[in-house]
Amino acid sequence: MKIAVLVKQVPGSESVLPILNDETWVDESLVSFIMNPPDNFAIEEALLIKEKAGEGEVVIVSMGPDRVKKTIKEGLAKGADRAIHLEEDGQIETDPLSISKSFSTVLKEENFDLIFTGLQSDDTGMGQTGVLLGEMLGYSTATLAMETDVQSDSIRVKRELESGWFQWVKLPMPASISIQSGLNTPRYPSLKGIMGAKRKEIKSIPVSEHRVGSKMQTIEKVFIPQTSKQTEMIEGDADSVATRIVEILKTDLKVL
Amino acid sequence: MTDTQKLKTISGGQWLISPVANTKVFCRETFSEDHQDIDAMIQEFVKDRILPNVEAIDKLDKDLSLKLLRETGELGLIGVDTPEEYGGNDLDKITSCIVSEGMGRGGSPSFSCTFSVQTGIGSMGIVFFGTPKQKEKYLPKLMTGEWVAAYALTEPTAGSDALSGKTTAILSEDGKHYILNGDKQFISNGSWADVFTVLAQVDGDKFSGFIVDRNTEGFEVGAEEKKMGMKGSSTTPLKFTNAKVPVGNLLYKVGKGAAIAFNALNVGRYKLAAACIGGSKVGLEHAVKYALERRQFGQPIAHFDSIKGKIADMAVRVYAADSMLYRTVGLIQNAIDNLDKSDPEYYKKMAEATEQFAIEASMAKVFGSETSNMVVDEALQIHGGYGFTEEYPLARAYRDDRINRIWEGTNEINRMIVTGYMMKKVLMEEISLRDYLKGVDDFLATETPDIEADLFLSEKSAVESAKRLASMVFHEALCEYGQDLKHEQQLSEALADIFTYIYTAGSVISRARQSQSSNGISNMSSVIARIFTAESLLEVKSLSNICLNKIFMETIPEDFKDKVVQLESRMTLNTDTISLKQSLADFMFSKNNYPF
Repeated sequence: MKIAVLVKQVPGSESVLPILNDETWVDESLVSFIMNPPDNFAIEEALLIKEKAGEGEVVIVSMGPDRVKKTIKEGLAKGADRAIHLEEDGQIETDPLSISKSFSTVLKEENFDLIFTGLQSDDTGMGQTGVLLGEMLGYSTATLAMETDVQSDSIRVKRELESGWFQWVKLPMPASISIQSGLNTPRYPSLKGIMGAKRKEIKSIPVSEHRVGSKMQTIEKVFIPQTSKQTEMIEGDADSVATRIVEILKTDLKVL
Repeated sequence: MTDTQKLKTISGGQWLISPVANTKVFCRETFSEDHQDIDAMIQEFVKDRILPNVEAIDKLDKDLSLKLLRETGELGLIGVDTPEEYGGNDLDKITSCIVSEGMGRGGSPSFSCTFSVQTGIGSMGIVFFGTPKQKEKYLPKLMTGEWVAAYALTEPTAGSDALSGKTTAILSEDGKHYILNGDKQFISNGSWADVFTVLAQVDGDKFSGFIVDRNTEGFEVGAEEKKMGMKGSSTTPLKFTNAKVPVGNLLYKVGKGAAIAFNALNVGRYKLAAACIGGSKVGLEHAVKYALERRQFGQPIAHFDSIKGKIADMAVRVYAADSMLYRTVGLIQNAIDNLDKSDPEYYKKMAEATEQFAIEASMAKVFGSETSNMVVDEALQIHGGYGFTEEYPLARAYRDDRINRIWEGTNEINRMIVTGYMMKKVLMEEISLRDYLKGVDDFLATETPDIEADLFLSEKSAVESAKRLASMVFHEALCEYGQDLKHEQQLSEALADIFTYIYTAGSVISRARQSQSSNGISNMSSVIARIFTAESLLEVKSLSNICLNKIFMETIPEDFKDKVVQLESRMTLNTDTISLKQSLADFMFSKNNYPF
């Protein structure tokens, strides 16, 4: 069983997010980066599958500038066997289609049985890369897996649907699956794992050699959402006030 | 290979007569990538696993605490510096400090205590002095947290006077057992432990160590103490009534108990300092966040100068404690790196190498615990009336912190150790104080001291003068009292403080110099170094005067006084500490955490 886990490095939720003067992205020199939190669950699921099978390989795959090595090492420290780093220099790619194309050219010859991704990245939140990559490689694809069950040449996954509904689907392998957060308890890297990570292989491939086609999507403008205070005085008798409050809670605030 | 290996080997106390900041010191900024990754991992672990459980732990929830302890075992944190063959990770002392500091950041000093007894005093005796058989039997299970460890030195009538314990051990007639009788007091992990390192007098006068299993016949664990703080850690007395301990459980040799006891303490001291510093950083962060949120007179209290002063004072103090702790651990690690690992006596030699820095370890303990004491107090003050309630974490932190000035040797005892060891090193001529003092006249005759121009020119020059003043005071104290200086406790304490300020100022300046780059953090490191040096040298001046008035019985000889006045004038910096503190506090508020 050969499993790739696509891992992204994103700004941490506690980091400052200063926006660049040209408003196209944040000033990365001031941002503190972490592993995209949903990817932790994908790594854990891959490690659990490998441990249960008693054999196999878990490979961390990431794209980004040199800084992402830190995140890759974290995955290796948790127990992944090796890593592939598509190294960007200069502008980082944010278009999921371009990213998936680059990944597909590099990962094609690896012949993974499974490709796992987190459900989405905490920075741009597109949630598309895993599915696009799966399609490009001709893998079966599924999203939002809440449970996995590997069988001989297929995998059953419990998918999260809307309104509290679930669905079990059986996919022939190879498959590319995005993993819903919370389905397992990601481990911490142990001291042994941290010390051992530096002996594991990280294969660096310049992404420039694998840029395919033109960009389909670019970021126009990055900005901090404007917050404003609004006060509505509700008048009328008790019934109409109550009706209005329920309406606000349902439609404006969406908490009911 | 760690960075510490590039440091020159210096024995403890030498900094007093060596030029300030002329060699590289170990500090947070010289952490290796592994150190940084381990630091990140443990911070993540305590944030997820300890912080949300603080209140439950505080209810003395044994199952929870031991479950968390096993989790630390799984991650390899208990066995951080234990040999690999016994289930440890055999990492350096810097890593073990990072782990202790990380635990200190978990908001539960109670759990931090449970953990540190396990990894420190509870198992270190076996690591350092155990036979291969003892190590094989006990260490693997202690390192996973399957077995819990405790350390029993203190007795109802033997606290600071640790070697005066009355617990006895007598070899049984058949030579198979030592029969232990006596009482132990304030034993951390007491009611949870499976394995106890116990100190007792063989034949009434040969202080020796034993490994005692919980189920030993004649051994009982008493009731939990009702403590002021640390309510989530177990603390009990132990009772030995003809307890039969197999001879194979004698630790090291008969009569060698002091080596076990004091080595455990040397290690315990710097690790405690690390835990205190971790706790201080959390306390300071609470204060920063609260000051930004709390509004009075129409604005956040963070805008008020008085609050800024407090925040800056805390930040300076924490930075200073951090700098001197990691410098110390770097020195210890450097000495250990020079040992031959294949030497069968490696661990005993490691204990000796650590003892070389007993002065610095004691200074770190005193300075670290008084830093956390100052921080919990001022952080609580910033919280005002809310700080006095259990709604905010400072009330518990305040209670929990109080023990730190008492255990691992009271701060009074540790100050005696600092001055006592300095005295020993001078008398043994390991520190050539007299030669150093011969140079004072030349030093004073030089207009501008011979120090390469750098950012901290005035600070370094002022510390150079302080070293000479301190050496003069110390020399006079030794001339006047000789070995009896140890009975002059107030004087010894003042001297210990003088040494600590000088060592710490040197550590802070070195660290700030080493972390120079163009970012805001390094600018603020310089601000901190300037504030700390200016303020600590004022303390050195005032303490020196107190000492001299005692030594010379209120009549300081004129020619001596002349030199003192000249040195003091060179120690006086014109640093505008108030303005520097304002900018430091503003920086802290902009970061909304402890950014160093």
